[in-house]
Amino acid sequence: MKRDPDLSRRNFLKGTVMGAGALTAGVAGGLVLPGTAHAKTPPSFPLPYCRDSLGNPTSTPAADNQPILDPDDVRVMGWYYYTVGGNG
Amino acid sequence: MQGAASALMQAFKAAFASDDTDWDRIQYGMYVYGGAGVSGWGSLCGVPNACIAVLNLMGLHGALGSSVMGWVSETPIPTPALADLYYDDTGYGPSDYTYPKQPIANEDVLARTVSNSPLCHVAVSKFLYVAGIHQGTVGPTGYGIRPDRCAKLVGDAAAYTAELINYYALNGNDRDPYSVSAETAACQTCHQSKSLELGPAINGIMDCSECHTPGAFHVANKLIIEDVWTEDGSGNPKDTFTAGDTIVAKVKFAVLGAGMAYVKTVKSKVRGPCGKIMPCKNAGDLGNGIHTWDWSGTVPGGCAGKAKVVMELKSFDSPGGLLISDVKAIHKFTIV
Repeated sequence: MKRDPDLSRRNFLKGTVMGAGALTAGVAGGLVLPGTAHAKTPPSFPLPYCRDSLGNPTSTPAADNQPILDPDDVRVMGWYYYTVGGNG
Repeated sequence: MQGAASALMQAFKAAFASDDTDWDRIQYGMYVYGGAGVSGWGSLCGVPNACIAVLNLMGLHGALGSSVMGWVSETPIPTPALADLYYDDTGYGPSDYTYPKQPIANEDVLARTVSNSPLCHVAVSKFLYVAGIHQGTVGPTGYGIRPDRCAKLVGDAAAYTAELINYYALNGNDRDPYSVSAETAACQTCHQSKSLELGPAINGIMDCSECHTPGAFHVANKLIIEDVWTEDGSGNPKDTFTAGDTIVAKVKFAVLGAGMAYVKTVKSKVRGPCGKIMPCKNAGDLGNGIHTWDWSGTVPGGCAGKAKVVMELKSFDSPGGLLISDVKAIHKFTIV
């Protein structure tokens, strides 16, 4: 999921009616708690770990799922990262 | 920790690169803290810590985490797999990629050790001891022998975790469900999590013998007074007595560990505001378990006020032998 640029803090405060309202209320009425438009959207858990039969990412096990990890790729990557950074 | 986490995370990020999943929002740098057993303390090895942290992102830490801990504890490390890939499989060899280090070839590996523990301190110290090296010893490829071991473990454990994930995706269960060793299971027949009756209570399923040596610790060597109280002559707990009442003082205590202990009371008595009401003397060879001793007497007249049962128990390895344990407890009551 990509961040919607229209909901960025800068645009929210700059040009929209909601932004103007928030600023006005903030000055006139004290603290205004930020709405969801201020917050970065956090990742949604659980994250997917395979593909379903249609090829879509999923976190639900099923006999016709498609596993996506190559253990040897992971093995070499892990070894590589350790040798680069020295951290297990 | 960073290495194993990064390997698994990168695999998912790459596999889902065109799918716009939230793997894109997971940062690589979160797990540096766990290296060398968390901030260099040698506690939980960063490798299983990392693998299970990534499993947690998928909600699989409960289903697969114990297997990762068990695999790291019970597998001879390093496995030959990484060196096999590097030296034998052209798909991952130095002609295919540029690597910063060269792994020690399998024929030059000095030791492959089973840690019987997920602790970094235990695993690495055991490897160093068996290999006959110290932390700074350099191997034939110019890379340190200890970091060569840990680098291979990172790859091995991350690959094992990937295998478990792939299996779970198809079957919805753990391919290698972990069960404690027979030796640890035997320990747990007495050492339980919610009972003191047969020995100290335990927490967790780590291998016992890696830290605890059966023998000295299992001599009946410890007493615990669970309760001291007073009753009337009919077995009813009672804390207020009058002159002429029958008073029964009781102590309930546990002898922990296997074997026999000689247990005796020391300076134990029921004491009223005017002095001793009755002594509490007893002794005997006792085995593991819960025991109750009691003493009966009559409350004297003309002496009202605060009173107490003073109880002190000592255990010895034999009558007149070595003192092992000394415990005290007091129960207060009133004479009106």
